[in-house]
Amino acid sequence: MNSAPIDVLVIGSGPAGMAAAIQARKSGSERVLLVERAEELGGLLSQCIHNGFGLIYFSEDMTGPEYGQKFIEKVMDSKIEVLLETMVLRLTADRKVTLCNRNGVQTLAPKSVVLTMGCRERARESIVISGYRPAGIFTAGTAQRWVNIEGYLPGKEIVILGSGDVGMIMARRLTLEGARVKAVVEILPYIGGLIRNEVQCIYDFNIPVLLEHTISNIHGIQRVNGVTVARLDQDKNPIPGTEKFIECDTLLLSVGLIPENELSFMAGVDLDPITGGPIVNERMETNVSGIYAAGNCVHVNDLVDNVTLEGEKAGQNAAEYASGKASQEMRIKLEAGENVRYVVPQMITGKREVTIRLRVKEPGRDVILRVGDIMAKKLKVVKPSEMLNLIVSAKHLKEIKKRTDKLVMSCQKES
Amino acid sequence: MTKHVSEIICIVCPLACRVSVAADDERHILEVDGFQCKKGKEYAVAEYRSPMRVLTTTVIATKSRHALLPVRTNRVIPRGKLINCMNYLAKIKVKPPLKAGDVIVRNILNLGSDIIAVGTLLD
Amino acid sequence: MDQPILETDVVIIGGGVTGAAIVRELSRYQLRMVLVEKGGELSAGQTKVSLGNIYTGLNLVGSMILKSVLLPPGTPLTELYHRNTLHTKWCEEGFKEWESVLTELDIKHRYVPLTIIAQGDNQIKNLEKIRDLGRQLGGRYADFEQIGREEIFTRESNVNPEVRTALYAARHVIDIFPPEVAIALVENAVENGCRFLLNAEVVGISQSGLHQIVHTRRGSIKTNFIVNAACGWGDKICDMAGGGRDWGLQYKKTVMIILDTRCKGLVHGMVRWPNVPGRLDLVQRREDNILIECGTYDPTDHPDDTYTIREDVIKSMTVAKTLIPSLSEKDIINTFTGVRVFNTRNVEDHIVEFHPANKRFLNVIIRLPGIIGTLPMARHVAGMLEEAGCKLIRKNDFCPHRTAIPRFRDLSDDMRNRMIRDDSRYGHVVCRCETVTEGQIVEAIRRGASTEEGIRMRTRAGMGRCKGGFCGPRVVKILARELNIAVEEVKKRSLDSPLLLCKSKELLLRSEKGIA
Ligand SMILES: Cc1cc2nc3c(=O)[nH]c(=O)nc-3n(C[C@H](O)[C@H](O)[C@H](O)COP(=O)(O)OP(=O)(O)OC[C@H]3O[C@@H](n4cnc5c(N)ncnc54)[C@H](O)[C@@H]3O)c2cc1C
Ligand SMILES: Cc1cc2nc3c(=O)[nH]c(=O)nc-3n(C[C@H](O)[C@H](O)[C@H](O)COP(=O)(O)OP(=O)(O)OC[C@H]3O[C@@H](n4cnc5c(N)ncnc54)[C@H](O)[C@@H]3O)c2cc1C
Ligand code: SF4
Repeated sequence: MNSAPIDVLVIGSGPAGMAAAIQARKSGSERVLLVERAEELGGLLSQCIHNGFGLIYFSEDMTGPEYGQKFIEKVMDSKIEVLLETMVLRLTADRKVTLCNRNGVQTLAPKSVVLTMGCRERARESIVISGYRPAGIFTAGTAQRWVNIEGYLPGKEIVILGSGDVGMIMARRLTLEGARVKAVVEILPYIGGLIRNEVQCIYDFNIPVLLEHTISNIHGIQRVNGVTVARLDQDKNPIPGTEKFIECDTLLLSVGLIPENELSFMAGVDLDPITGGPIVNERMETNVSGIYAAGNCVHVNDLVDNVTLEGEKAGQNAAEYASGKASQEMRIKLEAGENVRYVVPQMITGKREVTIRLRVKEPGRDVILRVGDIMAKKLKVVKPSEMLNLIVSAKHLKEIKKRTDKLVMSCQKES
Repeated sequence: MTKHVSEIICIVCPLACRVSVAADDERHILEVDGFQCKKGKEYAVAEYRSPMRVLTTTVIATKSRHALLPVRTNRVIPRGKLINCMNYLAKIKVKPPLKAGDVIVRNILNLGSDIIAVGTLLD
Repeated sequence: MDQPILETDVVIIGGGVTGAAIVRELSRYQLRMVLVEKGGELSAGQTKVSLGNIYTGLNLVGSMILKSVLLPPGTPLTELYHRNTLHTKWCEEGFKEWESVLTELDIKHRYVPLTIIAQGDNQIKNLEKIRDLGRQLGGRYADFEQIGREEIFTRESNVNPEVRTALYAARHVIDIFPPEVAIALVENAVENGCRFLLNAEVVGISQSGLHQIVHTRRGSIKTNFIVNAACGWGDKICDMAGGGRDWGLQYKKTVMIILDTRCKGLVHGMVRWPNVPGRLDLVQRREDNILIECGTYDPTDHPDDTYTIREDVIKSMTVAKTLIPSLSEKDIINTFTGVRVFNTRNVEDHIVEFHPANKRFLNVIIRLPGIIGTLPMARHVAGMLEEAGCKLIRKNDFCPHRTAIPRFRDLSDDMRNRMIRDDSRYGHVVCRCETVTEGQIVEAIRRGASTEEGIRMRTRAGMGRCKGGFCGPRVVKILARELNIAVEEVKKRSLDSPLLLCKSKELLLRSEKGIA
């Protein structure tokens, strides 16, 4: 191996990590190292065999593997060093990165680091449903891996808890493979994912959806043999008397994704309690100097295209940092106000154009999205499941009053 | 003559308009209502006439480190034929080397669409 | 009758800590032995879901008060201590010995402080009860101090800010992982020539001339002696050997909660409210997690009733927050239910006696706390077998040492590199949350693990916050590869807990055939 110091080390090779590595090379970094614990590059993409990727970035409707392949080729072509089946075990605030693979454990000291570790799924154990601990309970993403990569079906008669995109996509996938999806159970009064998935994964196959319902019991001691579903009242408590038994051998959970940030935590990176990911500024830089972050490890994205764009930004800035450019002062905080769950980035300079991504708390129609008092945009419809992208131009930012150190984002009905 | 009204959810944009398509016994469209833009109307009409879908699935791989090869149709096919294609593809086995874009089944079930690989298959 | 698959001198039924300690003790002698366990892994019963402490002194005093719920109401304090039971004797003898045995068997352990805190007047009264009983009993039982507010916060800084006083014992609790204890004991017995059979539920016992036949789901075993260490299921096993039992079993369940490692700094040891009869409220550092048990002894009629009730978890968390206010439901990574077993004849003691109708069938039904007294218990059992005619001739080559599967996570990078150089599979991290490598998993399989849960218990793979979301498929594939079985044959725990129900395309091909 080359003995020159590494400029940018990227942890995780999903779309965010690949984009970061490619962009870092483009921005002039000599040595870029991409580290991935799995057997291949691509992160989640290789198991997302459905289409719907790349509509923004490539203006083309691709499957996950196809979208991934484009970047894998670029990684190969741009002299990025890649380590597969290599786990990053430790990260320190002074950017010492400890790697472990079949050749041993080693600690590197790159000039900058990009965190793109993606996210993990919430497990059954942390959502506390009454029952025994039978086999046959899977998170939707793990089931997706079994079905699409390993070649096994978790079960034949399936109930899915959670109507997010992953849950719906698995409902269609398992139905196509010949399993029976007996219900998709959703706590909220509306389906959680994209409208396209609602139509093409659920209605196309007449899969029963139970809104405002939850699973109150899991039956079976050794293997799942059924679940009890119950309707919820306004406080989300099961209404007695509405319980219904559904026979099934498998329960899939699609109940939330949590950004993966063990390493960030170790390095002293400040995390946003709402997103669960690092607090970043418009350069995708964390509070720890020289550590950048992007993709699902910052906040859970529904479109891969945005992940790629975020990764590119992180890669470019990490490369600049590695070449000795000082970072700029971020003095304005973007704060989540009325009906806004979170905002990324959380800090900006207020000097140049910035793309703000945010999620609302409640769905609404004909609302106004406001950035402090400098910008307002009418939106016909907003949903918690669809992330909003808002470009705030330098012109708008000029309106910021000298002394302001925060902008409150809100998304409310026109009044 | 009776008038049949079908509701179609437009998926072209997040507004998700509920478009109603009214037709006669022969399925001739009489009127379309509820859309908010031209694209939406076109979508609803096409969806009413014949809903078309991309099929994405896998086929079994042999002599490879991978158990499966992900594949898709290169053109949309009628929604009603998805299951037929699945049954057909269940019997297909492929061997490496294959790369994205390689044709696995030409003109599947005479639907005018090929099944192509979307991933790489190595030994 | 089916041909016996084995002939032995002693069959031990039950692979919990009791059965494990007995085989380990007996493996010092020249005996042919087998341990049979109905589960797909050792430690499938009460041992798996136990709190996981070896304790003495102050905690034992608290435990006496807690368990007094089973005694007639109004039993005076002084009568909570039963000098003459086997239970008391072994508890008092056992603790000292563990230190060396834990080291001998390379079992991960840590002494943790016990702090019993009190806030309201009532609690202070209850705390004084424990204090007074401890002082009356003297010795180890009195080896604690009462500390005031300031002191409390220097020792356990996150407890309820309103606490007024506490009892504190620095070294009365050893934090261990009970399945590891059982597994380590058996592994050492195996090193010394003993065998164990998993998925070998005993379904009947018959007599054949001078021998007895133990019928299991894996075949029958011809043997001289039988030891029944099936605890909660021991009544049924006992009946297989003949009638005339004058004891029954009763069961009490409680729910336990595990919190993410992120919270581990919140407590140093065990923090509890003063025990009252039938109720226990404690928060404890359990290796790198937090374990909560705040609940009551809820009666149930079955040892398999490990059904967890959501409401109990919520109630338990509410109480836990009175102990440590900064705990949060958000950090829950696991919940499970444990069933405690007591006998109905004398709730204060164990049942360690020969079957009334069968002098070569020994019942060893242990009440809790069951781990502390295990070592003297096993010696006692060996003595009883000897008296009944089982010849005990010492092996000269008995080796008391067992080495644990390397705990990659706890090693220095230098040590790790040394291991990887010898076997590159130690460089392949499979479980990210607990940093478990392929090398460890393969070693666990070599030592007898054959299920997903077995791998979990022996290596911790899948025990972390993601509960196997990442490593699950990888572990299952390694199991299939090493055991040379199909992936669909890998089980979660017992034979009837398959993880995957069929191969891709199988359902489609089947339905095609169905139509044709
Ligand atoms: C089921 C599902 C369906 C989706 N469908 C669509 C869709 O139709 N269209 C669309 O546009 N988007 C879709 N998305 C969203 C999009 O695919 C994801 O948001 C995107 O893959 C996230 O990329 P990432 O790079 O942030 O994370 P990931 O793809 O998760 O990559 C993270 C990588 O980091 C590695 N890693 C983590 N920790 C370490 C460590 N310590 N050491 C080494 N490596 C590590 C992981 O192994 C992984 O490969 C979907 C997502 C899911 C889950
Ligand atoms: C919630 C809880 C907390 C506890 N906390 C502590 C503590 O902190 N400290 C302490 O010392 N003790 C504690 N205990 C008690 C301790 O766990 C028990 O005393 C001890 O584990 C009993 O071990 P055992 O081997 O006798 O029983 P078990 O572990 O129950 O073993 C019996 C075995 O027999 C097997 N078996 C049953 N039927 C058959 C059959 N037909 N054929 C073959 N095998 C069979 C079972 O599968 C099981 O593995 C606690 C218990 C509980 C429930
Ligand atoms: S009709 Fe037009 S506006 Fe309405 S959902 Fe379709 S594309 Fe959007």
